[in-house]
Amino acid sequence: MSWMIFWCFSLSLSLSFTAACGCLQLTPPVVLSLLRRNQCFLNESLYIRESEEELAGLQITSCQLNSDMRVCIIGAGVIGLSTAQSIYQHFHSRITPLTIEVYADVFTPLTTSDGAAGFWQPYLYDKGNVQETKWNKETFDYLLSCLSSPDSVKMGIFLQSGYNLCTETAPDPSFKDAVLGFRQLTKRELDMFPGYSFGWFNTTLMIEGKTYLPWLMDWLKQRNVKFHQRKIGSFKELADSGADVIINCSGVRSGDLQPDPELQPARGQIIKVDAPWLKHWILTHDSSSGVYNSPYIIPGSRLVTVGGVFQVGNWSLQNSTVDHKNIWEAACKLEPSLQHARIVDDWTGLRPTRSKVRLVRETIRSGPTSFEVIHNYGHGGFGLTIHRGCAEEAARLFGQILEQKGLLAHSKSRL
Amino acid sequence: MKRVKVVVVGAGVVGLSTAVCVAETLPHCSVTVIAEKFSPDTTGDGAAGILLPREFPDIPLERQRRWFKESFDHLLAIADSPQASDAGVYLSSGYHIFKEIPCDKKPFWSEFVFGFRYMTDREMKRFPNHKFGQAFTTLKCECLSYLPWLEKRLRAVGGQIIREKVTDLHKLALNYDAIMNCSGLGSRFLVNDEEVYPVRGQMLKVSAPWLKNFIRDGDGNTYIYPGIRYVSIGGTRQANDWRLEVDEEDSEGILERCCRLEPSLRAAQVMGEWVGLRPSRANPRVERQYLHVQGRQVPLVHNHGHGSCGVTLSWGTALDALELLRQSLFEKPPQARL
Repeated sequence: MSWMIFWCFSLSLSLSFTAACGCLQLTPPVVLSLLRRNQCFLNESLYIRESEEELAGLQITSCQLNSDMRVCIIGAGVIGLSTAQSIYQHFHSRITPLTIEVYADVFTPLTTSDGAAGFWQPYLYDKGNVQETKWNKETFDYLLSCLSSPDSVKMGIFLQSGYNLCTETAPDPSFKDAVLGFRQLTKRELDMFPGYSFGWFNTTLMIEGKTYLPWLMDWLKQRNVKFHQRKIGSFKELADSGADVIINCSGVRSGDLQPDPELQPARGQIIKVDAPWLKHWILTHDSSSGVYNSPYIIPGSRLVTVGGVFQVGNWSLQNSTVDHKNIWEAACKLEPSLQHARIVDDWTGLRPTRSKVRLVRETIRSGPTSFEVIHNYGHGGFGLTIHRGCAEEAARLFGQILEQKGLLAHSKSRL
Repeated sequence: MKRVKVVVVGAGVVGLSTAVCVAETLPHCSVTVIAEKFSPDTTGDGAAGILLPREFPDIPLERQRRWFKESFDHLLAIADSPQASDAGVYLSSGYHIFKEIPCDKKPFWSEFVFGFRYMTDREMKRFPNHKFGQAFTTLKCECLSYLPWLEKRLRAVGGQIIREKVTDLHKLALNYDAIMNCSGLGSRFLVNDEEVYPVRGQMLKVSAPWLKNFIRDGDGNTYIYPGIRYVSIGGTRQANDWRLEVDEEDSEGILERCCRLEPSLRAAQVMGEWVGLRPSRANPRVERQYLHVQGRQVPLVHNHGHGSCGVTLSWGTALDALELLRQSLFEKPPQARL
């Protein structure tokens, strides 16, 4: 280590800085304290490589030396994991070292994302939340591009076609241009579904949490993202332990960290069924009962997910026999062949419902200091549907934080 | 009341469909099915069972439309019922893609399947070597389930089954008042129909439960049909090839072509291979003649030569064959057998 310090001394004497960086003058005491604070030593080979190149140009930006950035993500559902991925993808080569850690008390296969059917479809109408429609489409396009990769099966991604059934004529849904082959149902098709007089057919993507989350965790682990099984009591707890930026992906329990009257659970219960002859999803929409409070049948890669209920304010994670009976009866009426299907399991999950997704930065004061929080929660019943768009937006917000801290170089001497 | 004894030769999808049609519609007839092979050893058992017709050159289009429509409607009613899983009948959507734009972009059967349309540009992006495609929803009817289900239906109305190879129709005619010949490829020998010839097809059964939509190349040589227990991928079309053994080169070719259309198949496990001989003919033969046996005129209704459209046309042609039988029993009521 001592030769490193000597080397830095000599470096500091011959360094000059570009004005664009607005960085500090590297005097020996400053260099020493920076080196002590930094994790640079741990990444010796990288440091040496960078610095040798730098030496040639005799220019270095303080970014490489003063960029110890520790990001702590709370939540290991699809939102937390994909946010970690986006941040890594955008910044791991621009910030060194970049430490990303994920804190959660629940991991796959026990998260809300794991129990969900894994069906890409936003709510029919975005009620003016055009950002959300944009993020949904971004996610669809991203997943579609992954479909042709050799990893598609390991990611749990595949195409499936199906029916959206309505009890009355309805305007085109928000996702009509995102999905493939969107069209209205013909009368002959509607004849198969008594009680429904209108609807659409399209091909969309499935993204099964039970497969996607382990794949994301592997991806992150391979890139040295650390996971901690722990329930976080407050943002301050993490800030005090050295987190520079906290990303709140705590889903339905975000209220425990910061009260949010707009965030409510929307309880859902599903039945997992063995019915491998079913090759289409069927979603029904009844304006009188509301979204997801109407039967749906969504075949997965192994089992079929049958639902649904959407009980706002209900925190119970227990399976209800009454809900089971209602769901089953309605689904069998919709799809008579289900009557002979083998029921495998019931599952209950709480959709983190909010009037709109909370995806914003917040600076929180803690005594004399402050820390940055990025909120990314409240994705209701469309977390898997919107995850990538939101993760990329969270990464963008993170980039803003880095810029404000002067940690991002605009001109890099190497390039 | 004297019962008219009808015998159906052949227990494939055409034979059993014909037998059930007769037994359920003509209460004064007793129906016996005689065959050498039963499910799971019939040609249909290995076929994917996708309802997708082709146009035959010499049969009036109206009749072909009726054959397909009646088959489709019959199976749709089953798919829509609690019986669907027992019978192995369900809806299947997918893509029919062409490397060159076909002359007939909108075939005669397009109005009978659901939602027939041309594929969008975005959908075609997945298939860079193909210029045109059709998307629709049709039915899939898996004989491994359907044939035993038809057999149950036959027995429920008093039908009988005999496991025996038939080689002489005249001898058979001694004991029956009418014969329905549904012997598929066997007709070549049984009734000396030289127009019947095999078209060999090899396929692989793979485990890929994430695949839900079918893909068929319009040239007929490459297809991916997701099924209940496995995905059927294929295929070959080798005319006058009687080999029932698996050909390794064919398997390699199938895997290579199918993986190109559907890359995720590379992760699929091969569960088995199968070869079937399509009972092909320029046109299916659904017509009636009479056998002269000991002074009696015994109607012989032919219902064979469906080629690759056995499942697809089974019910429609069975109804036609039933009508031919009904007509002949009316025109020439059976005389007492000696």
